[in-house]
Amino acid sequence: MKVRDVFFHEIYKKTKHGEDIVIVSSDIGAPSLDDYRRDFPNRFINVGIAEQNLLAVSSGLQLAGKKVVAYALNPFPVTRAFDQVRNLMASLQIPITVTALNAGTCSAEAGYTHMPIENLSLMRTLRNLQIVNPSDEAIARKLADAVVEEPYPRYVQFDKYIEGTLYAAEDINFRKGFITNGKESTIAVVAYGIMAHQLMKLDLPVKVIDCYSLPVQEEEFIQEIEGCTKIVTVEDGVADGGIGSMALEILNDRGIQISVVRKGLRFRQGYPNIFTNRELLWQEEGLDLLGLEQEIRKLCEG
Amino acid sequence: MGQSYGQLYQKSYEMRKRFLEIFTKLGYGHLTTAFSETEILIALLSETMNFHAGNVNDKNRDRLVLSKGHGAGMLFPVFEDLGILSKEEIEEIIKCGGDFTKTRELFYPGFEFYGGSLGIGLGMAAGLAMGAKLNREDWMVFCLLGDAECYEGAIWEAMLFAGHNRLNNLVVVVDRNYLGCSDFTENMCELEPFEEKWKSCNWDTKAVDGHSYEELLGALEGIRSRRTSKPLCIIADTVKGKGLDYLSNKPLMHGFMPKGEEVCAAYENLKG
Repeated sequence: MKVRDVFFHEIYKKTKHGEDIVIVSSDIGAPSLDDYRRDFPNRFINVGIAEQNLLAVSSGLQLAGKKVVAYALNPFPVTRAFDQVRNLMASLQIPITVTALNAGTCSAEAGYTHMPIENLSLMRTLRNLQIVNPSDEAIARKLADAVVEEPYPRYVQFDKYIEGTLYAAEDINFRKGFITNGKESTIAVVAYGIMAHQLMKLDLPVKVIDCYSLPVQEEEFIQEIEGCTKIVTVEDGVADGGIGSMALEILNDRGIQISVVRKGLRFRQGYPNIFTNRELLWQEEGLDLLGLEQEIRKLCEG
Repeated sequence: MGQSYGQLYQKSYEMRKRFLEIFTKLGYGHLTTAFSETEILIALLSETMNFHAGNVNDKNRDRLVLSKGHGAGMLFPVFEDLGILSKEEIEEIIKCGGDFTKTRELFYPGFEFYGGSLGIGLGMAAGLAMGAKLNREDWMVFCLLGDAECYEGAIWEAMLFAGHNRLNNLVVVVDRNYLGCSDFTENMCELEPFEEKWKSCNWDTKAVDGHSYEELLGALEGIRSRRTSKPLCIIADTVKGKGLDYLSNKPLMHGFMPKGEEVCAAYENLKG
């Protein structure tokens, strides 16, 4: 099942069991929300295509005692409503969960307007909130638990092409923020979202670190990459300010010298001026899976 | 009504004077805005809302969302008058290096929210009002907006939402002083016919003199027993800088704070 639908099914079950949850939508639904809307019509609030109001109304509801899941089409809850995000979530610490459909280039067919490729970089500039990129169903399920049990300002990006389970529920920890699989190696690949999901499934001779919740716990992250000689960061988003930047900042702040190769969207030829999709974009930007795999294996060969 | 009109007008003078004491010492603040909204805040906080020193943490208290955050300064004298803040606490807070944590505790849940990033408050007030309805609780939400704040698109998003959802436990007061920072609203981009715009979004409206307690309290009378499903917008005509004629109704006085010899002049010219 897609990660978004896993999450909403869990939210449905919790509401059915009496949790005081409301979902606030900016004119977006999902098949997995149909039951919720039918059975809890008063708990599904639609503000229309109005992301600024989505954040403000959700915050008011939370202060009135509700557990709030806001649901919007990415990139708009961040790019249109960034001021509300920074004031209400980051500064005032109102613990709403803002979920967004689409991550990175998964809706590239709709054009640049609908690619939330800068959102992670923008949100990384804010303290006191979590940026969650569910790369498997266990994370999505645990996230629904967190809405009820660990209220915190969270921004969640659901990639519509991620489904299936990679991790054990007990290994998911949103404060730690990452999970490591793969093989012991002096090379670590650091990714999130669809890139982590894909790379985890390849049998690569390297460590693969999935940073599904940012900010990561830095000391634990350092321990994880200690002994590595090279880090490759891979993201389906702009390289500027993304997870590659995160790795460089953590290393630089501690004076640790490990070579970092950052793979991400660069748009060196400008923004796409053609009808495109994720696969074509990845090929143009050197992010296609086959190319990435070959590049990583080549690094391993020295 | 707890106090006579005479007492209330005297209170207006005292609150403006106290504002001068607090903020000329700091050397920063939004005097003209504070003086524009003085009667509105007193009418709401002292005479209308179920909000007092004894219930600041009670979940059934009424909420005030001060969306025009540059008007927050006048809350300090009014909160002091209500016994919510002491003089000593204000002195600790309103200074460079003042304890912001304490302020935050008072702002939130004291008045829910600090505005200042204009346009956010009305949506938040609407969310609170909807939350009260979903909880089947009877507390009310009051929201103070600036008229020039209403250029923000988020205000119109929230206006549509509150009208559509029949949030009759929500009362907005617009401080209609006809001034932004740089110019009069009707020169920048006409807001009129302002009242009709609220009506068209399914709001009840009232237009009053925002410096007249007779009119403000008349509009707020019976606010808990209105026989309507609509939210209410009270458009309160005011004068930015009211009480100090030499600052009143002038563009580019938005962030003005008297300094040096101007401070004495401000006290001497302050009108009751």
